[in-house]
Amino acid sequence: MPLLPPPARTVLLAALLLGFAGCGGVPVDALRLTAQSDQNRARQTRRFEGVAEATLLAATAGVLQDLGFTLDESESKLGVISASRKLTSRRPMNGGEIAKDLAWSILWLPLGLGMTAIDAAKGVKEPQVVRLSLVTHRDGATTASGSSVRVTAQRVVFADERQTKIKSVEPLDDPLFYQEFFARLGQSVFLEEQKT
Amino acid sequence: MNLKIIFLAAALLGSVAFTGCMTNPALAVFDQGGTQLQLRSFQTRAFDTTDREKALRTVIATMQDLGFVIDKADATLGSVSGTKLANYELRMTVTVRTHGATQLLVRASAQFADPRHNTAAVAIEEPAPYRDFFAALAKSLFLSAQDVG
Repeated sequence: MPLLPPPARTVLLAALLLGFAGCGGVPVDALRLTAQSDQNRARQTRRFEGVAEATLLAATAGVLQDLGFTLDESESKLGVISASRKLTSRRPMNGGEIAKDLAWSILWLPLGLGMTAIDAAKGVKEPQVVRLSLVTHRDGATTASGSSVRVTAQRVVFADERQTKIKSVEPLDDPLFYQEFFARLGQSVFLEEQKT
Repeated sequence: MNLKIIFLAAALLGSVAFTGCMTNPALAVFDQGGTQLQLRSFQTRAFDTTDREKALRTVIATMQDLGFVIDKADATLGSVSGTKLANYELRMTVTVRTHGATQLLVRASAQFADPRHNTAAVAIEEPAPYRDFFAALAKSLFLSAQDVG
């Protein structure tokens, strides 16, 4: 007689397989183009009519300096600038964090409730390093055909202010980031063209 | 008495087994899983073009399509390095060099790590991720990627 009934064996096997899958290293799609690749490219790219690639690259460096970034590397022959900036932002608390905070209220009522309200209003501190690369591209044979720039950005969020323990590593995908960046770049291109 | 001998043998075996796992730190950099030739063939493709700058720019664009931030690019050396962060860390270096009179040789090498769990970076030695990368690159270059050697 078998030790476990067939359904239990199936469940156990599935759990084991899932467990092993969880141990895997490189995700299968890590270097694969996805359905979102085209959308991402469109969101991350801005075209500037009649602007030379060198002007666009200089304007890009200007915006990065305006924003307090350090230019880590650049290769103007290939139109590449990479930059980074350390900063601390605050985000709203999520449900789990509010619940965790509220759990203390059971011991501290009503002080705990007040503290939770204050914590929720303050938000969660996120010490982080933002890294980005900007790549310019000449769109045609002449300056008149213009140039474009593509930005890719990511951040490393730390659990502590001294930045010793990494909490998460992720791409910066928020469309608002790109809108704001390109708005500032537009102004910088204008200033750069005035100079030239 | 017998128990003593068993303990002694176990301790001896254990120490031998652990010694087997150790590496001379000066030689750790030479540790790799597959054979060097096999790894090179996974990581390398030839393309029928001689325009090195265009190929480098296309490598950069393809890496951006795949979610990389470009860390460094060198037109003279013909190399591009980038990092992808998506709950894991993938670092990749791609080199482009001339191959005969009519071709360019592109080689990619990548390392994977999980910084949230502080795991050490390991070299990617499976062929599948490189196959995916070269498929994406070939699409952008409008050329087919040819196996080498």
